[in-house]
Amino acid sequence: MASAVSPPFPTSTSPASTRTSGRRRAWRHRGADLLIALPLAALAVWAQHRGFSDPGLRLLEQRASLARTGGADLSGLRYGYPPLPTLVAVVSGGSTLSLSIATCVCTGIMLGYVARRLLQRVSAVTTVALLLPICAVPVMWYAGSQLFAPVASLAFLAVALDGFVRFTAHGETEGGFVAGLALAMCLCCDPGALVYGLVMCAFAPLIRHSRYRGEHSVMAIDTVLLFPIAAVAVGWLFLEWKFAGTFPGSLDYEAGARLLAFPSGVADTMAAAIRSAGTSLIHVPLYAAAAVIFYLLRPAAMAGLLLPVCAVIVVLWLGFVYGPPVAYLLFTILALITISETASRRFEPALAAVALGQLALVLAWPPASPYFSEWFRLVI
Amino acid sequence: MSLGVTQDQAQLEVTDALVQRGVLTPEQRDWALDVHERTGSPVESILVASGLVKRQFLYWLLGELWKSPYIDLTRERLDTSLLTGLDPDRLVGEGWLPVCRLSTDEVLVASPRPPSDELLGAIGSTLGYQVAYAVTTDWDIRYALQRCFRDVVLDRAALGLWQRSEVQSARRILFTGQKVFLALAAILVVAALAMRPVVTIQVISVVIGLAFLASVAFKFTVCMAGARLERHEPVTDSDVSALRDEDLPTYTVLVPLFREARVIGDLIENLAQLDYPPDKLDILLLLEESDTETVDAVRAAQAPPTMTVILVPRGTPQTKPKACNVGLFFARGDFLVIYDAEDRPDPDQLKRALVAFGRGDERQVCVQAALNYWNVAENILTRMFTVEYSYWFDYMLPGLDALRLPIPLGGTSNHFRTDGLRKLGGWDPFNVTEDADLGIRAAAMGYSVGVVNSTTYEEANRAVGNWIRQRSRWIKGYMQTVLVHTRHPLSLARTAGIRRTLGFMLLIAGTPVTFLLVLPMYVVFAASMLIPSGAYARFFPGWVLYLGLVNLIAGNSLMIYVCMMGAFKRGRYKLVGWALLNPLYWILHSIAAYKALWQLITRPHYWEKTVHGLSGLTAVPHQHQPGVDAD
Repeated sequence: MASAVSPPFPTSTSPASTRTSGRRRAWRHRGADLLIALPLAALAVWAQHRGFSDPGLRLLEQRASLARTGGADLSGLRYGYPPLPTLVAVVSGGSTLSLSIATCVCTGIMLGYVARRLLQRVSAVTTVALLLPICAVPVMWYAGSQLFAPVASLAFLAVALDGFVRFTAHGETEGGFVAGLALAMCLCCDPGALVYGLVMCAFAPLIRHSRYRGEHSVMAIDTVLLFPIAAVAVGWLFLEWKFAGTFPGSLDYEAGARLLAFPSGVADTMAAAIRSAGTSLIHVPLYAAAAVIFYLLRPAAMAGLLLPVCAVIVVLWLGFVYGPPVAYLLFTILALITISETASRRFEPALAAVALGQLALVLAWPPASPYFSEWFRLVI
Repeated sequence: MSLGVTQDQAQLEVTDALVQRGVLTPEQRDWALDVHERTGSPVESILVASGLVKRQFLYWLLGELWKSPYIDLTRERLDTSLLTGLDPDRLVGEGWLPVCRLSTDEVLVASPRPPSDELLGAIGSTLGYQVAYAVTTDWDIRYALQRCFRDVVLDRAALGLWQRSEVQSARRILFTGQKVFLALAAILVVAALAMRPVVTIQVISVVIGLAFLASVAFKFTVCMAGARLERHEPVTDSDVSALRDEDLPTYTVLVPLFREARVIGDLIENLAQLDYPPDKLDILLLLEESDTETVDAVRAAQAPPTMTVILVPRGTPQTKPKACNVGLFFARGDFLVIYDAEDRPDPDQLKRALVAFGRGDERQVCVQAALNYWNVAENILTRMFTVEYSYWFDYMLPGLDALRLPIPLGGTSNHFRTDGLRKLGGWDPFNVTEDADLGIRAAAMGYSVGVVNSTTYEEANRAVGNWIRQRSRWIKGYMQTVLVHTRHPLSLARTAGIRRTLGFMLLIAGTPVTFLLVLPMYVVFAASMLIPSGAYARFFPGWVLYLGLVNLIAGNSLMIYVCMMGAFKRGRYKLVGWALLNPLYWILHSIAAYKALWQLITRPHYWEKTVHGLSGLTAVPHQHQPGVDAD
């Protein structure tokens, strides 16, 4: 007769205790994110007190109000793009202050995420030094407390890029999940996500993991990356067509957006886009430092660093709104994520020096925009 | 054999005798003794399992050595009156059987075991007679026990669970309390529709919308939890190669077969691939007594000596779980697994399961291996089925495992601790997804079920009718399982916990409910495309509509996406795009769900037989190579 037998093999860590410590850690992280957001929130309140609110937030406020008055037939959906910021605006009561606070929370989550990643690779001192070009720069105080849709989309983009690298370069399918879904969320904040998705697809074959063999793997990788974003895009266009009768009605999503207008002609607009992206890149020596580290440690993956640059050029060329503060934040965040992916302790002094250099550069020559100047005048 | 002889001397004695009689060469003897030394298995088992010696001859020879007569129980008339009061489990476990009275105070007892004083004394005190001993084969003992305890085996297999606990059995579909509850709910809905039709439709829409949303959110969350485990390989190749043969326990493999004559050859070949010492394998082919075609096919195929045919007595219900219960009765392995006739398990699956058991706690009664298909590229249906299975077994089940939620077992390749399975009461023969029910029952009784990273390849259904029959049975089984385990919901919540109970409800109840709602939802969607949105605003105000739209876009997209990812993770890259056809595939699910509901009312215990062996593909790799698409 059979008896209860346990094969004599080693046991692993108890899953229950792992789950509990995981939950505790998650709570600690959320607390740290909110702590980062607090000073920005104070600035947001102060800016409101001084009578400043960013035009982007005011536009969201209007759209939320219009979307609410759409009625039972959902015709208000025509004002609903970008849906995630509009939803936040509707839920939060539609005031620019609440949206500004929401921006601070998004910034806190994003910076917390980057900081935790850096801490896994470099020392706390180096992490602080690397974060200074974001945390100690007024233009980032402005962006982090006033630019809700761009910051939210950037946060999702950072997650998407991290997932993209894990998916394509490290062969982790879960990274593909994360990348695809984060891109879709990014599209809910900014139509530029479509461009990022396409550029990621273009780069995927260059850095794909050896695990992905077979002639159909590239097509499959692209499908995984693009399906969620395509579903959101098609879904949203369907909703607009069905309930608002406009197709596509989302292209006037933001004041100043002139999609596919090519104001100086196709070629000259491209040249202007390249210049603009180049200027933004000059503001971010950390990006060059990340490229050097890639060159030394993983030359095959260097092509991945071209991805965001190409994406920004295409986005600017197509006429999406993409101000210098947002481009600066994008390149810096991506540089830090890349560093957190590859850097080792031996690079720390050099990286800290580059970060301090970038800080000095940006303080001396900020990637300014007209709204930033006004904010700076009133708030600082 | 004298009692003072050591085990090793006895093994030497047997093998020397075989060499002297020219049955074994000296090299074969040395090999057998070497295996015995390495694995600790009795040399008789090694010789029989390897096919070097015929079982009957070996035991006849043992009789000579033990100075006892040999007896062929297939030809003996057994005195069944001697069995009165004997515990059949004990006879199966100890491997002996009283044959007949030799005189008023002496009984002939047959056994394949050495006639030690201890054994004979124990038998004598049990029977109350003096014991005359005869040698027989282990096969003969099982055969004779099948004949002698036919009614007992049948009764236990069919009604054992019911007799132990009515509430755990699906024999009665609805208990009185459930009938009253359902009747009251129906009356309430009809009355509400009559009095406040608009509000009632709105409420129903919201309930349906929330149910869909909860179901999708649950499945997505579980899938993400499963996806995160990708970086962690629970059982590695080096874990498997570190296992020593002498540590391996006896493993019973149950293979229930009904109208499977055409795949017997493949079955024997597939089971021969298992990487496990043959002498520690106890393969039981469970054949229905009435299925003469399959019985003849097995006889003609000349199954290897590691396989034993067990005839499942005729009687209702004629279901796979009943056959499995019969197999459980005769199982002598410490661990047990079920395979279907057309299964092609990874060769090292049994060893992987053992490692997984070793890493689980004592309450882990079962580990489930992944299932996938080898005939992927046959047609659209086989592709969609493979996409679905990849998502289910590669993401959902590992996710449920990671979140410690109840796991509905999946048909085959469930590995059990035999003892634990017996404590659970075996399978419910009245539940047509006995596997899912068993997984939930395990959770309800405080046991756990895990997963193991090994795959069994099966034959995907290639015909729509066959697919709907199979799926309707599965969905009907889910409905039965829900009805069984919600008879005492508070008790379930107390034993399994609120979180696991909710998980059970969302998965097992949510699945048939969502499938039932697919067709009506599609009709409503099609109608909404034809009617101006203002026209139905009365029934579906903005907030209700928003909920529906979230389900339409986000819900459908997420479910398509997890299926895509499942195919991707499996390395079935060509199938990733096919996941886009899921909304059409779900129509088939919905049709099957309605058939299941109808059968639940009209023929609740009817087993819709899935026909295997229809695939036109034959040359298949044993293991799918990631990235190498089958078509």
